[in-house]
Amino acid sequence: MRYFIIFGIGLGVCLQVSAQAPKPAKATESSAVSTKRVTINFGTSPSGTEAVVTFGKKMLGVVPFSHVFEYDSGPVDVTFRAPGYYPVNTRVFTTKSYLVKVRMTPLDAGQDLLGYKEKLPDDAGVPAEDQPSKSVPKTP
Amino acid sequence: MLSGRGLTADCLNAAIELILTLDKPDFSVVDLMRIFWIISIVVGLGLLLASQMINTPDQEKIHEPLADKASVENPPPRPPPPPPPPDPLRPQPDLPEADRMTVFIKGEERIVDRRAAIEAGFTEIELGDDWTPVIFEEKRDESGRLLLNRYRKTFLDLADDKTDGDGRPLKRKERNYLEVFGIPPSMKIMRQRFLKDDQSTCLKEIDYDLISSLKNLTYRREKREQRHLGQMRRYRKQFKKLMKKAQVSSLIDFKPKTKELKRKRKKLLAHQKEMRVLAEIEKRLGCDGHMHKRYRHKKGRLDQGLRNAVRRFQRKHKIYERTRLAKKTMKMMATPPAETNHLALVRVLQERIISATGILEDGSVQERMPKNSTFIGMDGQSRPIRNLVDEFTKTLLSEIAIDTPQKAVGFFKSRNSDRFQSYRVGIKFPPLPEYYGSQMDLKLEIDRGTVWYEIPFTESGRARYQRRKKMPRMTLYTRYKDQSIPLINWPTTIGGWREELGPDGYVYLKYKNSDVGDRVIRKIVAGPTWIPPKTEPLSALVKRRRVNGLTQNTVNYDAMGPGYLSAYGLVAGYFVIPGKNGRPDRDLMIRAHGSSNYMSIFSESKYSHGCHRLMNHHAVRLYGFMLKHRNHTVHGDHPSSFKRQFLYNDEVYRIHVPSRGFRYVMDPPVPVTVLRGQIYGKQKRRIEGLVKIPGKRYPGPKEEIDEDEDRPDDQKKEAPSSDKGGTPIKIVGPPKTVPSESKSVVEKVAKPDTSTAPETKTKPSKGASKQ
Repeated sequence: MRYFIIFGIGLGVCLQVSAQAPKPAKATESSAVSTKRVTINFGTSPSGTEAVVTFGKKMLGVVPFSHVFEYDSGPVDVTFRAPGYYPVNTRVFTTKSYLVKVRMTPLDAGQDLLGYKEKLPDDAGVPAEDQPSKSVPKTP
Repeated sequence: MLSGRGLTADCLNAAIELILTLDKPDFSVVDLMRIFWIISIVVGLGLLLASQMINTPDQEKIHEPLADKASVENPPPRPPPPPPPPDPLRPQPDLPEADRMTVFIKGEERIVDRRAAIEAGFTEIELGDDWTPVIFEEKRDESGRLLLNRYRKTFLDLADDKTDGDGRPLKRKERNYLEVFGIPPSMKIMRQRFLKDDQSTCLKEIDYDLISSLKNLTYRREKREQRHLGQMRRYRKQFKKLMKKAQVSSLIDFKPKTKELKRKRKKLLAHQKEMRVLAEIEKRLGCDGHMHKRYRHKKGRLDQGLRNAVRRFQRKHKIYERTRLAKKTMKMMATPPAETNHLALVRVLQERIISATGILEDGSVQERMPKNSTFIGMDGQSRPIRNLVDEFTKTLLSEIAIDTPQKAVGFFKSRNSDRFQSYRVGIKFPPLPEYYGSQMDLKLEIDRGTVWYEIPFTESGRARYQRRKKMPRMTLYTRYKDQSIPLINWPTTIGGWREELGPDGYVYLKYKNSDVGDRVIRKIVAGPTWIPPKTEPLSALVKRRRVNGLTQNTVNYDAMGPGYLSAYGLVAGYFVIPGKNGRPDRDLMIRAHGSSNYMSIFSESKYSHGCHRLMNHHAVRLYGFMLKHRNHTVHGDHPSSFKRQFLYNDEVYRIHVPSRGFRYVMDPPVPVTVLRGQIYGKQKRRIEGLVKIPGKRYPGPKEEIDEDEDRPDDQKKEAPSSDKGGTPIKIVGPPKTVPSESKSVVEKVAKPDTSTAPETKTKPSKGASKQ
């Protein structure tokens, strides 16, 4: 009987405490969201290129490799560098796991790229670009 | 839970157990105490029960004869009147969050049932931090699934000073001042501003009257500024000597004899006053947190550092002005912070009111089109077009009692920041005009204003001034009883001469036309992304920024979006020529969209690439209004797999656009008319082709270059047939090389655009000689 009463009191106390305590379910839910991660796979084309991927000062790895980012932690600007190729700057979005496959262009194939400039003749008859001309309209 | 009956049973059980223990030899004092307690409880319960049993029949006995008497003497009493129905707007503070609304009745703040308040004529205004404009509101598809709106979270975080435009956490003490870009601060931020400034002693020490004594402060270029300061130093020395000689202590009291000295004294006095005002402005900017160390401003100098601080100040106070200490900026500088904060609060509330009530009329029609600011009502009487935004805002301010800065401070002091997590208030607004309805017959009209097709530089290569007497404007009309009622009249832009990347990788000029004629807006995209055409100068697509501790060049995603800095702003309406006889629409790539380059909308010398730019908050209001008053389908996020690489300064940049934005499709579409405007100059048709920019170096001459008209991948097939395969375009040599006697080669080689309709002269043309 004594044990029964003690058990009853204990049960009552437990019920009361649990009713007043904050709901743990929500806390675990939010912590699950905050720890959500995405996996980004890095690759290049042609596939044999051993490109080093850097994020600012930090080296992320040598392709092919994968890297885990925190979900929705903001965009990540990365650079792919490989000897004999133009470095490639691109952005990784951390909202889903996906493959970032970058086409590397050899240094002698720049003409295939948009924005490739022909070499200018030494004297094109006008002042060089770094010499500002007064006649250039400010706003076309 | 233990019931009372259970307890009694337990007690009895315990008693029996104890009685049994009496026979046991180890019967103790403790057991005796237990028996005493149990007996007393049992006796107590017994007495209580007995009193209940005795009382009940007595009362019945007393009432019975009375009742019998009454039934004999009097007719049966009328049934008591039913209790009055409970006040639907009675306070119900225990209502769940989703069902409650706060209303203000006779100055009393009352939490009431949301449905009942709406039925009683209250309009719900969200004062919480979870507010976004209509275009970014959460939408569900037909199956009730929540549709992803990628920019909604960013919008909320930016308004709440949580993150920057890229979604990275904002540094401590850093603030987003994005009102000029269409993102008003959250109410929590407004509360912080009010309370911080109210406690600030620094801001109270500023002499606002002294600042207001100057209308503007002249900015000089660095060299000129140094010259000016040197001159003033010399004058000061000169007058110091003269004053000593004349035994005068103040320059104001000193009376110079010569005209030259008088002039110098006047100049020096003006300079001294300017310096005093500048010192107060520096204090104002410093107290307000705009003077960053990184700006490297030198005290008493009108330098770039001060300009940067002024720009922050202007953005905080939504001032559309260049970064000078000009009229509007000076006026705001001379206004005490309590008042400027109140003005900001009014602006914040205005956007929320517009969003909730679906109104648009902001008084721009009265200001810009006074002759058209009336309409004939149902009763045949002429009625003015009201400034609903102003009317409704005043109503809200007076209802909540925040119509003065002091009251607003009190309002925020009495509510902690958690109160603004969700805070829906109900307001009774004045009735809407009779032309309002769920389906309004809307029409957008764009007047191009003054148009110049001439190349913006002379044959000798000098910049040519092209005055625009009339700037482009956009008007939204609604049809009501056979009359077109203008609702708003806002400034916008048209296309003009802009830089374009040639196929050889060099930058030329090209005339970017804003097409004339009838169009429709079928698609509205919130948080749109802009796919840069292949002809976009690449320097605009690269941005230098700090990346994880290293400063490097990156793809300029700011320009592509989604975001407030995007070329399409926060929202864009896509103009198309409706296809006839089952044919698809023709998209000439013209949009009316928000723009972060807000000064281009006011500038006479700035042009778009053909699109009609709007200030972001105007675009947000306009498309929100269309969604509120026209049938539409919510298509949701439009994923994209657009990727492109380009070479710039020996590095490759790879663009990846994962989404085109959140799409709404209007059904039926909103008609648009682009008016021709007034063509000025000798050139009456637009010039096709690329034009070399004077002073720039280009590779050897090429006769014909194919221009690839850029279109997003999914729209390439919809392109007009005439544009397919690209039009051969001449690159015109720089006019500088043309002999001055002959007619410009530019005009000879470049062919006029025959695709556009012939444009009749609306006003006698004015020759270039006028400039």
